[in-house]
Amino acid sequence: MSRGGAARRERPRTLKVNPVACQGHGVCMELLPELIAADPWGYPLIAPGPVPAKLLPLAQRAVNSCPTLALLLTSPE
Amino acid sequence: MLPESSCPLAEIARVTEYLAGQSARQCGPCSNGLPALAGALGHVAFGRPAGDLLHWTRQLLGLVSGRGACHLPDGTAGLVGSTLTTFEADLRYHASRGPCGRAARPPVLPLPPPPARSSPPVPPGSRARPEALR
Repeated sequence: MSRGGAARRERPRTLKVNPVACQGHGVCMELLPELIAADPWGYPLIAPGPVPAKLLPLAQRAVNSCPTLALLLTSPE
Repeated sequence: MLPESSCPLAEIARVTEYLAGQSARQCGPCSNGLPALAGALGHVAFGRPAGDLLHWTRQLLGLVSGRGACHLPDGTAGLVGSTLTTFEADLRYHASRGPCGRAARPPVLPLPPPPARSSPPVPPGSRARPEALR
């Protein structure tokens, strides 16, 4: 249901990991422990569901900081 | 179909070991998680009872499921998960008294022989990647 530009901006966004690209550097879980935890081998476990609006800037920073560009912030179409 | 004379845990532990060996080693949760899962189930089937081993095995299912680029980890977790549900009585026996007598019998489920290693195995954590992508 579209409500124009405002609704478009508020589209829920989700964090995803490209499992092949991810090499478990652990930067994302350092930068965004609110949503990303480490599994027993140091690979990220991401909290399910959309990223809360107030965490979006931090999520974007984690995405930008991933050394292998494996972390993605996606918006479902 | 597994005959009653075979131990389902031992059979599936061997299959899980095989599946873990089939990992393309592209994704961390698979290349680490499947050997861990095979090891845990192998311990359930052939080792001494250990307190939280079953709990750890069940945890591993969640740690590998849906976390690979392909569905090898999902399929393996599905097989092990349904084994833990279906053969609960065997599980209880192994968890309290150790391997049943049937676990030592020759395997029933056919598995390909392990490959002869002509090249050194890829160490965990490293990737076999074309030079251009490094």
